[in-house]
Amino acid sequence: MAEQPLLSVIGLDKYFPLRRSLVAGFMGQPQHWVQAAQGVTFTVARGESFGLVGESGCGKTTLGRLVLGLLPVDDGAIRFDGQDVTKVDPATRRALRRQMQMVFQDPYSSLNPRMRIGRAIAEPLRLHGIVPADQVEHEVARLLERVGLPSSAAGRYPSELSGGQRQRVGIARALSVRPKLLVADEAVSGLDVSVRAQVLNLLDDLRRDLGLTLLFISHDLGVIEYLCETVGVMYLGTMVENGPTSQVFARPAHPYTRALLASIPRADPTLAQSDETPLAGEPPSPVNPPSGCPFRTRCPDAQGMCETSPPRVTLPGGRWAACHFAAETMNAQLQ
Amino acid sequence: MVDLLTVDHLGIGIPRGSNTVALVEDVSFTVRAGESYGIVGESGCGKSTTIRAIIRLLTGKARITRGAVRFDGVDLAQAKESALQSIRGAGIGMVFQDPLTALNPVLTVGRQIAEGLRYHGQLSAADRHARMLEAMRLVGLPDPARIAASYPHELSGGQRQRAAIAIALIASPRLLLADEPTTALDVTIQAQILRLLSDLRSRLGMALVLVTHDLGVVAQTCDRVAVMYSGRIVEEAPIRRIFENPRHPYTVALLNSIPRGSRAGHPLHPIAGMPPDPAHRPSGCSFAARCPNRQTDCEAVAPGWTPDAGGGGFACFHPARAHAEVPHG
Repeated sequence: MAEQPLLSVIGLDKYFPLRRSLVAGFMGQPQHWVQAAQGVTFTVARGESFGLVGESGCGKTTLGRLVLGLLPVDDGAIRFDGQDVTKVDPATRRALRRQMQMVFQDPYSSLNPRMRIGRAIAEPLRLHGIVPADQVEHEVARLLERVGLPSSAAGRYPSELSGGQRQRVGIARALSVRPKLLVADEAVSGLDVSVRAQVLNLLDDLRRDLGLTLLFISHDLGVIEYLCETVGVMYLGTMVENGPTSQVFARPAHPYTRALLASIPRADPTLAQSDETPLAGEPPSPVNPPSGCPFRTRCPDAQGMCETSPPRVTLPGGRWAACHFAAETMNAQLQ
Repeated sequence: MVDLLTVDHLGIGIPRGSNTVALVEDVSFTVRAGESYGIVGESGCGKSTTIRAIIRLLTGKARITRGAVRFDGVDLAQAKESALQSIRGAGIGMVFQDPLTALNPVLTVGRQIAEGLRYHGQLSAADRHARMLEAMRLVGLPDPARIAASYPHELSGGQRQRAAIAIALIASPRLLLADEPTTALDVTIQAQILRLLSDLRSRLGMALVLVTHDLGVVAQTCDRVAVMYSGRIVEEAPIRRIFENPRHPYTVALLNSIPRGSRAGHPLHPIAGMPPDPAHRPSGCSFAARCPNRQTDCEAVAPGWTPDAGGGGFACFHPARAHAEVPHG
């Protein structure tokens, strides 16, 4: 694939200051920082579906917001279609933003309860002048049908729709400005399984039909496996493993990925609960993350050398993992 | 095994105007001593309402409208509040989905865990303290003395759920009701809590009723399972049968809508449409409108219960075929 990737994230850092009392400031006590992203590097090809997976507080949502330019970065670059989003002038940024849209977790809080669905979708169409004013209504109907809703839904209020229908509206709204990249943050997490399946298939169909690129952020490994060709696993603000989903899931190379996969309760009673003891303890605080490998405090394979920053080990199949023992971990799972 | 809990034709309704809307209709099941029984279904199917009704913790205006809940020779559906007090905690413990809202934010964790002992048995304060620390160790809370003196907001989500389980266990119940106990937790913490519940069950010989939307959790935790849809149990079976040979079309559809690999390898088949509004359920089968096996008789009357050879049964006129031999789990 010589083609330039649609999105390249290079060495991205983001720290949030922890609130400090005025007195503590006067006393010269040090300012603490929450490490939300540290040295995150990955690329997403055009038309690809990239899954960002990790547990609460790993920084996956922050990463999505950084990509969209909703938060300023502290260091690093985000190249979208060849331009560094973090360095462009405001006018260009606005134009770039139209090309990347977000689908939120909770479509109820992201839709104005007093605005009819049709108006909610027409708003971005008018703002960005996507179609002439006399065609807006027609375009709204077309978008509603594209996401599997009747065009009559335009006259409804969000409260009259079910959760799955509202999520479809959220998707239609994101699609209205004809973006290249869709960032979906836990977009199916609030939905029941039967409805979740509908929305997953819709997102995948849209990606194929419209040539969209999808950055799909989720804590749900099953959903990522279903939808995403490529996966990036996050832990405490760092990406610990990246590669084709089928390969990473079949033979994880990072001990955290391995533990995460072993933790999923499999919907098959003949598979006994994984023999692997569940990962002990809980993720450390991102305020003072461990030095060296962030996972070493919970890692069953940790050794002395893990106190230094782990190398990014390149593996066959276009994969890498940030672990001294990545190759050994992966090969140990060869059947 | 001895029957510990028998829910018999339970109906739960909520008054709306001059009518009563049925939230749960004609639910019957039995939990044996020491077993793990799952209730699975999607939002609004009545699973949480059902287990809350067992210990009469229905919220709002919901009421038991018919049926019985027998535990230890007592019909909990009819029991007086004083009788319920002695059963809650010592007979039946309960764990809720969100440990933060289940815990009192202004009391220390230790005090909340020990509180149950004040109402059950005549223990001295020192003995209660010792039992509290023991319960905290049992649920795997590190450094019990320190955590006992902490407030809920000082604990992590996983620790809070462990504390909530300690509260439920302190008076040694024979049955633990758990309503989505791991839904609010991360997957690695969920694995820890599920392992803990299984360990506690085998060590204490306690029965467990686990309500969840997650078929994976049920598969890994339960001996038998009931599938609920629109206020009714539509299928019940030993755990392996439900996954290997689901009979009710809803169970089949539910299993087909969970991801099990890539879309190319295992495409998902969503269930079209929505469950009916409880106030306007059809006179026939509630699933008929979404069912691929639907025939005209389904719309006339609700199907009765058909027992299955391997245990359990289903409520359907046109079920999926039974496999020739079904291994029982």
